[in-house]
Amino acid sequence: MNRIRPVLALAQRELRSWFITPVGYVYLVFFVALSNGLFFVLNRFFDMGQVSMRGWFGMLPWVYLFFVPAFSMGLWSEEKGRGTIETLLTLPLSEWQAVLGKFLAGLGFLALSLACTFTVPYTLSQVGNLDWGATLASYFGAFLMGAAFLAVGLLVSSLTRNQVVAFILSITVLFVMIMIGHPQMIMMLSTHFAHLSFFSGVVHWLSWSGLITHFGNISRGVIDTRDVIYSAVVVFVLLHLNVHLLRTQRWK
Amino acid sequence: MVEVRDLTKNYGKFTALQNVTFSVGKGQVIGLLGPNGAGKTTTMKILTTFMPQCAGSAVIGGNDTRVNPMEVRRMVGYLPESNPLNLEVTVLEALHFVAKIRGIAPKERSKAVAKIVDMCRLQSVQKKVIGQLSKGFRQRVGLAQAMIHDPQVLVLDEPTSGLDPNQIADMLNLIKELGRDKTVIHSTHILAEAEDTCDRVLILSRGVLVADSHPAKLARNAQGHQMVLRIENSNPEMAQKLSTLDWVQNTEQYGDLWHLYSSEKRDMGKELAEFCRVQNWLVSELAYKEPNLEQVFAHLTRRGDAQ
Repeated sequence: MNRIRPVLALAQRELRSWFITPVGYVYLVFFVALSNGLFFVLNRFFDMGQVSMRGWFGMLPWVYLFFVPAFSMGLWSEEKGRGTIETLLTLPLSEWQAVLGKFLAGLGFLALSLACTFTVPYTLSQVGNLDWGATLASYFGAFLMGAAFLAVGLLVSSLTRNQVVAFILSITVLFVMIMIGHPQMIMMLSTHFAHLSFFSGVVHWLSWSGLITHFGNISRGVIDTRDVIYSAVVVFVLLHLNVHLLRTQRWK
Repeated sequence: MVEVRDLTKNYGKFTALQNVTFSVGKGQVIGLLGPNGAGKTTTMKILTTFMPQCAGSAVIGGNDTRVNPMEVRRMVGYLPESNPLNLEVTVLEALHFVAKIRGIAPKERSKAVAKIVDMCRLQSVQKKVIGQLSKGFRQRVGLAQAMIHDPQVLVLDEPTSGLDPNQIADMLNLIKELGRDKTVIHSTHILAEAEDTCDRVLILSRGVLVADSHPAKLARNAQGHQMVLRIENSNPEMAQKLSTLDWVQNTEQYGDLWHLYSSEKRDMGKELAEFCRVQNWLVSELAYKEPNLEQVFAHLTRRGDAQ
């Protein structure tokens, strides 16, 4: 309990810090507008004649690609830029506690953003017969995928004292992670390198390790334990790296 | 309370600290002096566990900074250089946050915050956002954050930099007051500050500890003691006569005023007056001047430049 309390105190402060200035609200508006805009306009919801949020969740990785780096870019880089990291890391707070506190704050913000989009399933349920079970399962999956994106954003944020650098770098890393398992990428790779016998194994492994692959199942409303474990492992590894980075950065 | 032994720190090829050894007793106020880049901040970062040393050890209250960093952090309050603060929150929010992380129980938290607000005289601004505060108030907020858990050891990195003269005096009084029951290590490059607040000064130069003494003692033991003498109707030939005194190393004449550099580290007034009487010179002024801390400091820290 005594180990959790400082983590929660830090998470609470970080979460609050988004809303002391209007910046948190701006991010929320951006997220809701972009995800709904893509869904209703680009995805031609009104022409489909289907009451389903699959299109909405299908767009989500691309929205996350910009949204998650936007709200996570400052988590460490701002502390470093201002020098407050020196006060924070000389408090009786381990690196793990500090990383967890920041990560939990990000999860809180993510949950809040997803909650703000509940108007979409509500609207759909008014015009037709929405499968609430599948929708809620997809929301759970969306949260898990967001957690993995966030862990990347947090890690990248600890590499620099400049928020803009953190933002751009996070987008780049996430883009690569999305592309690794993207169906079109996989298809291209397997046709081009079909003559290499060992390559089918590589392709299989790549498609398994990609962020999108696991989310594909979840967006259909299916929760597979393997996908949940995948997210948990990705998050754990990235947070662990983050802790390690904070420790080695102390030497400089 | 603080035991530092052979502390060494390299940044790549640059040696920031080299075999620095000192110890500080309970309730002492220590001034860490030295030109910029001498290793003051590095020493403080190591003492507060922000940064690990390359060799040597630092033990605070029986806890090694590398073996038991958490215990050290509980005992130490730290005001980093340039006083970094979260500018968007109010003074009270900032203090409550530190109190929470420090594990001060919810019931006692408000009491601890109120006490520190009172001590650092922040009552008038406690509900204001830190970004709107003047430099003097910000510095006190930084100090309040460092002291909220009533630490036994306070490490303050240039607590008076950027303050106006009145604020500096206030800050120094506060440090003196704190020094009654806490061990305080503070760095500065203003020597006058150290002279009247510190029980002891440590002077660092290029990562090496070049002096560890009481400020007054430091001045007394240094080179450069002078006798100042005014002789009516002086003439240049007097210089030769004055030089016959075996303790006079050098003479300087400014009209009737003479500066005699002495090899004796004490007041040579009597001997000098007697000498002048024998010579039949009319002495209208006679004074003894100890070297001041600035001279001592320059002497100690420039030695390295010559090499």
